[in-house]
Amino acid sequence: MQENERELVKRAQQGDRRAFGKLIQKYQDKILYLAYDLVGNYDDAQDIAQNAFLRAMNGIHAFKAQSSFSTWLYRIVVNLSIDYKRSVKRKKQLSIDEPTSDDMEQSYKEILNENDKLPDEITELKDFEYHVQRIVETLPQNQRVAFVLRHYHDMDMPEIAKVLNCKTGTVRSHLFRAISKLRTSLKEFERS
Amino acid sequence: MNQCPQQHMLVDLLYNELGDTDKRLLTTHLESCVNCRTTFDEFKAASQQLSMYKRPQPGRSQLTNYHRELKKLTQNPSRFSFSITALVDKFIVHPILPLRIVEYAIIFALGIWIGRWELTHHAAKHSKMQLGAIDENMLDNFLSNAEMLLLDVSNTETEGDLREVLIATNLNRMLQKNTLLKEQASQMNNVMLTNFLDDIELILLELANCDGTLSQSELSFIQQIIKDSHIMLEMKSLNAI
Ligand SMILES: [Zn+2]
Repeated sequence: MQENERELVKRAQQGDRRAFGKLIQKYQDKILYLAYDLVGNYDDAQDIAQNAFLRAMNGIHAFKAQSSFSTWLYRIVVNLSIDYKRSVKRKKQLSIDEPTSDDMEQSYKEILNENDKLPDEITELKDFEYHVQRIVETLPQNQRVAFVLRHYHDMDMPEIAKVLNCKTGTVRSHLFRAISKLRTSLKEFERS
Repeated sequence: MNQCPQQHMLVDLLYNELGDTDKRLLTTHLESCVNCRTTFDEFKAASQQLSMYKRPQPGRSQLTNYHRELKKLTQNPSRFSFSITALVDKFIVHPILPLRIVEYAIIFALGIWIGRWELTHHAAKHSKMQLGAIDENMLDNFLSNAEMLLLDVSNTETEGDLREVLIATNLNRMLQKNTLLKEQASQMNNVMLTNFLDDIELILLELANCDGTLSQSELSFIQQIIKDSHIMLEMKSLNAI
């Protein structure tokens, strides 16, 4: 299976579009879900996923087999999602009149919560799922990415380190902080 | 906050990413360190809770649309970058084995073809030298000698003068050369030169025949032949070439 993927990547690097098509088929759903886990709605997740595959296809010649293809692809998605989050944040900032930084962070979260979900999508979500999404969303960027990759995409810490381009120790620290915060938030949720 | 040095490893234990030795050490530590144990239990509980989270699924139509868009990505050739480096890589650096074999076969065949072409071409050139070409040095020499002879013959007034000219001329040698050049000219299909040499030969033969017993009438006859054949004119144009 792994050998097969390496062969597909090699052929795609030689310009074989069908080989790249097979790689897309293999990862399309995982990539869409990863984008969703990082940005919180499927419309933007679809844009990000499509964009990620386009970038991967155009940049496949630059891909060196130092990491696995999936790690490389995940990294593209993560970077696009981070860019997306930044652009959304900038838009919110522009639309809010002279906010204080605390206000701004709060408003940002509120607006994000309201706008990122279509009304029926919100009602479809169970309370618990909705709450988990919200508290994961409040995590700082790298902690959120590390948490999502570890919990929802079953990547181990060395792999996450490759995606985030950092040391495994840094990933451990991100995960420690993330799980500490989530533990507190979940306790609050249980109390309410 | 707790400063226990083992604490950062709780994450590794939680995600089961510890080696056997480290796992045993940390488990032993947890038995004695309340703080770490509490933290780990809470981590575990939180992790279990979070594992119950089910990601909402995209709508069926959205998923279909997404898959269709991705299919377009590889079906539309213009969106797939065929860089020159990719082509170089595909055909020269890392061609697939059958392609490599075909490339070698083409190079081999090309080598043989060039070799054979060069061989036949060279052989043709060589054979031309042997069979068809005119020895131009010999021709030049012969023509200038013939011209001088014919001029002398045309200008002599007495048979005595002619006899002097003929003594100074090796007629037999000239006839040999003429025969040789005529052969070469006919092999080259050079009709003009062949006819011309024919004319000269006729005169040379007349001169050779009359050698010794030359009368005034015979001299006039030969001079007339030279005049009629316009051989001097032809010779001028040949020398010009
Ligand atoms: Zn401890």
